[in-house]
Amino acid sequence: MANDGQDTRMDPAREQALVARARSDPGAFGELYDFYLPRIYGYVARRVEDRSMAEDLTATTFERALGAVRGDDFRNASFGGFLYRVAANAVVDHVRRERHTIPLGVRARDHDRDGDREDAEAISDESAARAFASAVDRDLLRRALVRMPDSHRRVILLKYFDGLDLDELCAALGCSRQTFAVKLHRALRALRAAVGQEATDAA
Amino acid sequence: MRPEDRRAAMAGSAGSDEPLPPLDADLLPLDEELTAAGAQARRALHGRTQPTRLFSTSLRDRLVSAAAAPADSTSAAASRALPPLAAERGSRLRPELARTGETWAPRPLDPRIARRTPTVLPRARWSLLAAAALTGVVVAGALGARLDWLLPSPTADASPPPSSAPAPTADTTPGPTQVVALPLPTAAPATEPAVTPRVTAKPAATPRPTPKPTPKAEPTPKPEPTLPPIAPMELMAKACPGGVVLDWTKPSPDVGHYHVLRSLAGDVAPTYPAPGATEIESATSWSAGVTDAYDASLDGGGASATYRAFAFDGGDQVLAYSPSVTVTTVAARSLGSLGVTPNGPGSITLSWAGADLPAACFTYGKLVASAEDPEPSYLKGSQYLAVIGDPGATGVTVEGLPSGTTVWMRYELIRATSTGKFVVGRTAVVQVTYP
Repeated sequence: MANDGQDTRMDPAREQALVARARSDPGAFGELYDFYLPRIYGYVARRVEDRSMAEDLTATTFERALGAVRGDDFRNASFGGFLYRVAANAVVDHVRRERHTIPLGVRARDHDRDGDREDAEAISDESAARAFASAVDRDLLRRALVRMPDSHRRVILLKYFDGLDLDELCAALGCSRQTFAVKLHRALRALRAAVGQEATDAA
Repeated sequence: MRPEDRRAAMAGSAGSDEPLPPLDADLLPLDEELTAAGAQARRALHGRTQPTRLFSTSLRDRLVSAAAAPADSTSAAASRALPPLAAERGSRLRPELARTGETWAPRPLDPRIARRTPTVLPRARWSLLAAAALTGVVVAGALGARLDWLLPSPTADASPPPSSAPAPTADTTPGPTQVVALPLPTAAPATEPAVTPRVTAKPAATPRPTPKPTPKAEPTPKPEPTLPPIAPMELMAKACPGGVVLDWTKPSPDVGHYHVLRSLAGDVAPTYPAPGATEIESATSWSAGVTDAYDASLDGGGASATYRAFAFDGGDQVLAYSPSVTVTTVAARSLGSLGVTPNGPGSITLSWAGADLPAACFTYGKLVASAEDPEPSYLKGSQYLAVIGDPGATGVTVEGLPSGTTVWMRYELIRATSTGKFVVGRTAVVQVTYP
């Protein structure tokens, strides 16, 4: 099966050069946009089923990115990771709006009630988890993916389903490589334990 | 920039070049399984998770325009160029604009809301005063009509009878109606002096200041979003024994999926769906990168089949279509009977007639066997005993077979494409008991 190029990565040096140029060169930002739009849109669309809303959230993500790269304090080494993190925030905001009635003009995250960000993140990952699980051949693994703890499942989804590279994963999760390695190990072990639990339940 | 975005922008830990510690060995199989599943899931969802071409180009135009503004005004420029979130505004305005390519501009405030703003307060004050006065006129008039028999009317004799007042109250209008002249900022128009105040309750007589007509700027025509050029779409159809291999080119990076139509009665019209044409299910590709497929739905050979491929974007709009291509189908090859020669315990040699196939019509040969199915086939998932890479091969020796087992067996030539496989040729089935 042919690969449509979604798995290729932009050379980090070129990406950083484009980010630096984007402050004064619209074409540089356009190039970053061309490369990341399908990825960011895909990330959002895998979590938000409504196409119009996915377009909204994607547009918001790039709008914020444009403001960020033209500011003085953009130091993130991974532009893609930054985009994924902003997109994740936009999706969480969207989920919160769907759950609560938020007054117009007020950001959802300003209405953080009892730390419901985690709930919103988990809900936003639900459809992604189901879509990912449907591609898994092993029945037990499929069921375990859907039922495993949210924090571990997020790591699994970002790495294997969304296909983020290492720097993007670290930026999206806001952690170092070492910390990510620990998170990944824990997530895989949690998944394997969940598979075992599924097998026990089935028996 | 929002605080959380600023934190994300400042998160510099990702730039570290520390190597990632390798996964523990016992986790590697799970890692591989998840990696494969992730790639498969992304491919399966590709059509639904790609932005439409119009959305991509429209948003790009806006962002690049905003990026061209001075750096310190980027946020403002981007905000002007991009409408706020539909969810924040409680409407679906944004997607509509994205489709039409229009620029967002704030709508005029609803008059009920506009009254609250300082700029329209004077007008509102006049309106409220006038409304209060008119209410007073009406109430007082009604009361006067009811109570005039109780009150002496000093002007009753002096007032001329109303000329245009409604008839039922014509003889009782004086008295209370005098109230109307006092509080109003402007009196009733001079053109209607003789008319009773009740008649002045027409909207034209209210003291509302005449609004100055504000000259409206000519709407500047918005240029159409520039769309990237679409490369011509090519289609190659190769009639192989047992099926037709279809291969086309990807016309644009914005393709979401493909459909192929077939007609057995001449050309396929360049519309989707096309009248008289059949959609080939085995040739539908839901991934932009999958550009080869097959059609094995025509039994026998000698039919003249015409194909046309269509490329769609993520919004199910036709992006491009190929020219029509006509081929004459060919029946699957018969490789004769399958010869079986026992060699010893658990070993047999199988032979068949060779097939002279073009490379484009052959992927591999499979020697399949089944203990349950008397018509084993690789396409049905039957177990295979050997894989042959040469289409001209005429035999193979298989060893290590479980002695005494009886199976049905046949050899098949397979052509595999990205959307599935079909049988190019096969031998007859033979029942074999392993020596």
